[in-house]
Amino acid sequence: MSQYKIIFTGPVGAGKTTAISSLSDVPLVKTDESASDMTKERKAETTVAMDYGIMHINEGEKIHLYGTPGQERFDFMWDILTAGGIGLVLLLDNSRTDPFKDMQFFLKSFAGFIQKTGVAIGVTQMDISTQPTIDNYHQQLKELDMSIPVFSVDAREKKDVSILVQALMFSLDPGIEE
Amino acid sequence: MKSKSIDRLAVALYGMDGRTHKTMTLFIQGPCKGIARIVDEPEANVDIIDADAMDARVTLDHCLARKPLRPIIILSLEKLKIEHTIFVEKPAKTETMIAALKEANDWLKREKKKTTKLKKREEPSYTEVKVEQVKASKLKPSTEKQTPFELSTEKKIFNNPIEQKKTAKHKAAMMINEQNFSSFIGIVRGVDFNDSEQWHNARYNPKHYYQGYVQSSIQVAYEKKQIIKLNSGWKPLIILPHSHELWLNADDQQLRAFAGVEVNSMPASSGTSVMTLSKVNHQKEDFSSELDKFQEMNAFIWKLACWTSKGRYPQALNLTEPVYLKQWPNFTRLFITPHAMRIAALLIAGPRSVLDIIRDLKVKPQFVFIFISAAYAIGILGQSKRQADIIISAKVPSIKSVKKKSLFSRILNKLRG
Repeated sequence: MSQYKIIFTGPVGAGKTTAISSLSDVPLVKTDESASDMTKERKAETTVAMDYGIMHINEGEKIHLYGTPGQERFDFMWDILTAGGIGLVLLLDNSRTDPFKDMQFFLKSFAGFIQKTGVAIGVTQMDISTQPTIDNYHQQLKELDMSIPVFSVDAREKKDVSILVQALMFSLDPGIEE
Repeated sequence: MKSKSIDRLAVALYGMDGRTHKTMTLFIQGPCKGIARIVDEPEANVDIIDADAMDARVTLDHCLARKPLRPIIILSLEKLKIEHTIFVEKPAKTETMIAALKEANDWLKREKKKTTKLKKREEPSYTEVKVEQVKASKLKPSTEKQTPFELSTEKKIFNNPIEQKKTAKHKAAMMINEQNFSSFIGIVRGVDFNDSEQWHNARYNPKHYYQGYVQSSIQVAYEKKQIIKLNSGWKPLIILPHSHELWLNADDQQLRAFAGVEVNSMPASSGTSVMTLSKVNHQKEDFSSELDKFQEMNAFIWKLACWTSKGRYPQALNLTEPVYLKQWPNFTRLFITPHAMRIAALLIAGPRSVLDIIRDLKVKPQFVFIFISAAYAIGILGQSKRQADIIISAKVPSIKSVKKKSLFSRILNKLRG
């Protein structure tokens, strides 16, 4: 049976672990540790290796949901994680100092993977910080010549995360029948 | 039996996954004798936070920043002493939880007394702004020159603590499938969508409906940078351009009914055939008790367009010329009509005519029409006028057969339950 992956990435505290928990059919394998560096200011615990969840889609068929560690010092793992991935979900925390910089960083870091597959962006914490708006993200993406789904997301809401992943599927293939 | 010693509290739970949320609800209903009920955040007067949750700090900060402050009960494995909170150690025992809820209730009573006293002495929180009714027949904005008070006024209103409670405006998406489309959206009479010859008759002019009046009013509000009220014989609609919000004292069912009727066909006695714009006198408008009536502007226009269209398309668009989509709609906050995401994905790939979309996706025309109506209404869809777009459109290949199509379909089925 083939094994497929969806990769969740984004900066520390963007909601990757929560988003995977929202979709996973099994209890999440978390590798959170007490943060000891600058990430402590944003989150008491942070993912230092990766998060892992499973979505059962058919008899015995699984989609593995992987969350990348938020800190840049673990970016050596990203290539390993993305191998065999069918798409990328990028979560951005709107309350961070410069979410556009985060977006550019992750889009650049995963450029090769995105080119082969696709990406959908979920912007979290929009209730805490209403700026920048979703339109502002699209303007930034236009400068990068990218037209990708960008949605406001509450990572705790399964429906939000589900719609984001659905959009990723449709952007990979608009021909999928509903 | 409920405890008679305290009023029934309305509690919002934070940092709990579905299962824990349910367990806590049952715990409060059962062992805690139903002294509180679990509600959504906007309706609550007490917050319970699982402090061991990952985003607890953010949640706590959010709750502590709320004004007026609500009693906050913190659940944690570790003993915590945080100012303005009531601590309950995990595993929560019935007596401890009841005691904590009683303490919250006492706290609320004390605050209520304080507020009543204060209200008696307090001056109005805003300076009065004189607002004149714009005399207009039909929809005409005021032409008289006015002082630019509006931005500051809006700031006064929305820097107010009540802004913190307007969470109801961020409503999650609603998915409408083919089966419930007609019952939810409505039916267009006189057009047989199975007959392609009749598709050209499935046009409508938004200007003849409430949608057109709302859109024109929004345009005026943005141009003048001021809060504007659209008056009709129905419900007043207040447009807040700086926060990109609207305030309407009507539920979706009422809006749906009103949206579908041509304004000119409404009886003159109803007063709905004449709509006027006026500035807002916020001394008279009491938003504070109706915070759930705030709606995000695009989400509102999107659904209004859906209910006006009912599966028709705006007459400004031509079915045979390519249309383009500037960006993906923010689907997590909108009605998702049948096949909307497929249509969006297809149009993002390149401009196509509406007829081509229907043919390529093999979907009923009304699903494409309603999508283009809503996307056009919020300004993210347009008809290609440039020759280049038409050339691009001609070159856009039909949908490729993607290797993983069946896998994607299975994932989709799983996600849609």
